[in-house]
Amino acid sequence: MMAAARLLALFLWLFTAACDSPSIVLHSPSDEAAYRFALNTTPPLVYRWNTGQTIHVYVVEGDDPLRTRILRDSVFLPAASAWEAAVLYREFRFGLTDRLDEADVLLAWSDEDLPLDVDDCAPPPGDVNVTVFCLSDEMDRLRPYRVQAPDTALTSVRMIVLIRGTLSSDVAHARRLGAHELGHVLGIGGHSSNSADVMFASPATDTPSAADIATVRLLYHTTPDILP
Amino acid sequence: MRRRLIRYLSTQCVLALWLVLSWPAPGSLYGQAIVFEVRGGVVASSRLVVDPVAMDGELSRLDVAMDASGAQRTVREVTASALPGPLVMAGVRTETRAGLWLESTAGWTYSDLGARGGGESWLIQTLHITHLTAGVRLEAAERFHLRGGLGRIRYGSERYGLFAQGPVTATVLEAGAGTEWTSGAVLLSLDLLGQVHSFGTPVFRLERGVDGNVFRLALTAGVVLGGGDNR
Repeated sequence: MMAAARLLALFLWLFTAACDSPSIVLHSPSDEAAYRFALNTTPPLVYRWNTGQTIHVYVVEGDDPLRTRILRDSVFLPAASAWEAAVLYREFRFGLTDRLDEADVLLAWSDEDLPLDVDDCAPPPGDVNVTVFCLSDEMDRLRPYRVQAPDTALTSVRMIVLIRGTLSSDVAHARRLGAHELGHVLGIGGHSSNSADVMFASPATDTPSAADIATVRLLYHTTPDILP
Repeated sequence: MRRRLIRYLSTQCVLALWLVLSWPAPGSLYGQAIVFEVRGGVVASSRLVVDPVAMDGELSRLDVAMDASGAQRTVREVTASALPGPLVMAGVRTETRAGLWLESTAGWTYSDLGARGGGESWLIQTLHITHLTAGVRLEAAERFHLRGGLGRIRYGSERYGLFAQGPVTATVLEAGAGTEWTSGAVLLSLDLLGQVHSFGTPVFRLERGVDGNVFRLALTAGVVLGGGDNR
């Protein structure tokens, strides 16, 4: 009995001793290194969603159902998939919602009327491509928007993303800009200086580059200053 | 290449030993009784991946080494593990020598791949882990047995992240110990089983991952069926 117990202990020791965990080996930064992702503030502030969170996106339905479908199916969904594939451990995921009260992000063509009261945190007017959010007084949270009067209830929407309305007939261009704006939604607060990156100010691609991927991965493993 | 050759040769040696042992002693009645066993329990696993993500110096380079309160920021290492989950096993065995049994076991584990990093934890995806082993079981004392085996283990999951290029399989080595007792007309068993196997996926290797070993520890309870007195 003792011999058997010793044999078992030996087996268990051998097993645990052999347990050098599978590991990823770091390498020196290269051309594929992350670029600056903090907001251009003093000090530079880092914002992102909680790790593992689903970011619920509400697509504003305009008068033309075809334009809404283009925005949802041809702009948002491919861009969301591309960013989700950029991370290995599902640090975030995007989800569509048709309920404004459970949305985190509102997505619309820039020429559509928004169902939110945006008076104190308004996107710039015109045919713009932009991601808008405002900080709480303590600068540690994103301020939620209110539903338009007469209800004015507080929503969970903390970001508004507008895609240039004139691009609804140029889907490829709109998709590139959609991927770029989703990068801002995720927490990339600046622009890349490399034209091959989605986060270049005028992106020529809708697929995150190696540098975009390195940036978003580092962002989601850095302590943020601002959480939603 | 050399590592693969060693692995291949050791597998062949174990299989050859298994075949020799499986040959019943001349003139004996051993090998005629087949015993089935169904077991269920829980299994815990060591880390599947350790990812440091980036060097801390990266944060200085990107001007975010300090947070808004002036505290030092560090890159948060992420680890991914198969979370403890239920395990179902079915085995068949036959006695070839006095106290020595040959057995083959199949098991299925339902688990979630979970991640941890910087005090946060979250779920990545569901795992279906199956294994098939062949081995020996030794009656070490009355009601007490030891077992060891070799086989294959397979990690299946949706095609995402580490498993974006599909399921992965590896050779698994197992050892364990257990006891049996009779309750009424039923023979019950309680076993502790350890498994070790290498782990790495194509995506993990593309990310400069180096395969390492994963240790699984299972506690199972089971029911033994068949075999008459020869069990």
